[in-house]
Amino acid sequence: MVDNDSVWSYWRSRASGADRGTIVVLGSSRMQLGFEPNAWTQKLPQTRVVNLAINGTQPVASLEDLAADKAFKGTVLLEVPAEIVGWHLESQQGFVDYYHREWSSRKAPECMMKAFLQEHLVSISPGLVLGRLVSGFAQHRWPPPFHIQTRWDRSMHADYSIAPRANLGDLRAPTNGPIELTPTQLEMLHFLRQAIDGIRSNGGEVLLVRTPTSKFLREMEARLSPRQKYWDWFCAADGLRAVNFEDVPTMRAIVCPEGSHLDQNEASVFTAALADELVRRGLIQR
Amino acid sequence: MLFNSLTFIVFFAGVLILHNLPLPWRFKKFNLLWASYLFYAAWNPPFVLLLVLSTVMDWFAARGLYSAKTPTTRRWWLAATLGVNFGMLGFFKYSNFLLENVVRLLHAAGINYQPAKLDILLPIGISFFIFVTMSYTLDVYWGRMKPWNSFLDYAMFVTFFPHLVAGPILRAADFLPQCLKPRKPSRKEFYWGLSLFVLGLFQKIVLADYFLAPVSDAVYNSGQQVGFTDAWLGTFAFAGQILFDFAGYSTCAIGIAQCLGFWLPQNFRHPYGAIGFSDFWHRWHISLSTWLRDYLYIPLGGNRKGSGRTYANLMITMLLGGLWHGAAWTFVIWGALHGFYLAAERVLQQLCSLQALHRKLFPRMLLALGTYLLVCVAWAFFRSHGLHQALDMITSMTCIHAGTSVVLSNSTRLSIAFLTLLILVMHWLMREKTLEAVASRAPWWLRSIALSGMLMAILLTPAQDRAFIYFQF
Repeated sequence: MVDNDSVWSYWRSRASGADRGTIVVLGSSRMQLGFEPNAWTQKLPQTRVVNLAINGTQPVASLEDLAADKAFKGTVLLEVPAEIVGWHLESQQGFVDYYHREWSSRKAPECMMKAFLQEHLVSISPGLVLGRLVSGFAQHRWPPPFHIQTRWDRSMHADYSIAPRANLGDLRAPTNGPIELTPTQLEMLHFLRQAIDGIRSNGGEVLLVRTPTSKFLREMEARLSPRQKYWDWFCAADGLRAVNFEDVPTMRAIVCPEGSHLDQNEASVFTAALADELVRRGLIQR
Repeated sequence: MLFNSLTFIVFFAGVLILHNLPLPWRFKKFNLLWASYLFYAAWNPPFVLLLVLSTVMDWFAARGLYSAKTPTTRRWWLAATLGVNFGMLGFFKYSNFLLENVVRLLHAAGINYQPAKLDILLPIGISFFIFVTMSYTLDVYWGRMKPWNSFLDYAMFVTFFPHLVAGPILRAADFLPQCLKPRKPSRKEFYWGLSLFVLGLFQKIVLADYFLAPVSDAVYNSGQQVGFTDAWLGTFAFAGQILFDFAGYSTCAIGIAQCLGFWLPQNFRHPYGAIGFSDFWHRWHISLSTWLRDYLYIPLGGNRKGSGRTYANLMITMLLGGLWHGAAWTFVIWGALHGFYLAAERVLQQLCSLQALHRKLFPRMLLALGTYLLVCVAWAFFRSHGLHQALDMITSMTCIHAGTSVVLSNSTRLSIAFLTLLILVMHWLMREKTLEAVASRAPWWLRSIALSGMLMAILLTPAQDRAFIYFQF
């Protein structure tokens, strides 16, 4: 399925007015690939999942949007990387703006029908668009297999056993030491905290999640954004509830084939372990 | 709902099934009527009331002025319907434009007036359905036809969903007689209708949205003044985009109507093969140009009151035609340019004998090319975001003061140049032919390959979220 602002808006509308039993997933591709809804609902069948994570973006704009939505009382699973805030913090703003300015429920049938066809007809996959096919054939290249697929619920599923080898390369981690948070990033942390508090004051909840990383990326995170200076420092603030994969043995053992994202099998393991951990800590009721 | 949407495919399939059931003709017409209201309501349900108001107003106005005993009463009915219809159009479409210009004028006079912006949503297709209802009333007023007896037929004429939101602008005399007897297309007509639908979607989805729109957007949305080459190529891209977008819609509308057994008039006849501007307006948006001719130009006097009055009538008609397209000075200037072109063409025809030129092939081709280039100069105003950008484009296109910004790659430039040349050649070759005539002479396997190829291209083209350009009018 082609994931776009219409599909995102459909699911955003499902999050509006949500109760505590609605789990809203926010984050980037790590959450879209790493969070497996079926594994979650097997563990916690009384909850329903709305995945608003967006590939290649930071979730700050979506979090602020949910904080501004007084009717939202759901539980947010917020993916937070090792460095807490990255760059391009307005990267999800376009989706949020589309939802508020362009989306209406009359677009839902078209959205759902398109998604159904795209899920079931490989010929209308974005990987087989006209221009790409023509240029590929001109260079005697057959389209590669699709190792990542997106479903209607916006979860992404990766089969790295058929991924191009270039996707699985490991880079050398940098040798320099920790990077200090810039004033801009500190300001963004303040906005992040404000949004979290805003959701809580409306009756919702925000649970921070650091998804597994491996290989060079984990090494880079340890060097540039060491846990004590970043994650532990941020989560030590009052009222913040967080799960770091490094603290959960099942999650710690997961290997990301290209360092950053989970294979579909590992995504199920991670999601089940996350549900168990949140229940164990009393952060979610079974 | 858009023709190029899955929702429409489902809707149309439902309408076709109902239309082909063994039901009384009256029941089928009622089905088409409520389906048309549903089609319009899919955009914004409350605006269906405007459609109903315009329909009902002109139904009663036509009957009222037809049965009026005195000319004064007839004029009162006409004034009432003109007031209601153009009042609606003026309010929804031109309120903000009027307000902005009043504020500008006051500022120029040293008066600082800051009114609140009117947040008015433009009902889709309002310019089209108001012209349709007005044409019915005016035809009755001028004695060209009698009021129709069946409100169902008349309501269907106004709201018939294939033409409702972006034309072709129907005439009562063409459509209403079709409602008298059950309409059922032959198998050949049905398949031709489907073929036209596929062709229209191909023009819109593949040619307009996928190939041409990104190039036009790259040039016109760059925020910088582009150079000579990019200015022309970006405008050629827009010329192609608006042609395939609008002609694509009309082709779909005609095809859909044909599948239901109804005939709609042709709206485009290979306009970029036109020789001269009079010829151009006999080929571009034909239903609008004939509407303006019959209900504005001719009532103003046409060409019957001397040269000066003829040029004035041409200018007024084209200025209002430009304003019809949108509430912005760029549209007015676009219309004014075409008015100027038409007037200048008349002057040239009177001053020098162009008949001899028209008989020779090479001069004809040159005249056609010249017509196309001048049409593109006018398109620059139509596409630009404001007067400032339009003037920048014109100065770049005419090398008066070309910009230096380069936005198009060499491969894109070559592609657009090739596509433009192909369009010009195709339109030139098809000048005196119809698509139906050419298709009927082609062998079945060639038609099948063409149709399959277009369907494949439609399926393989990534979806772009672009409304039809003429929906904003």
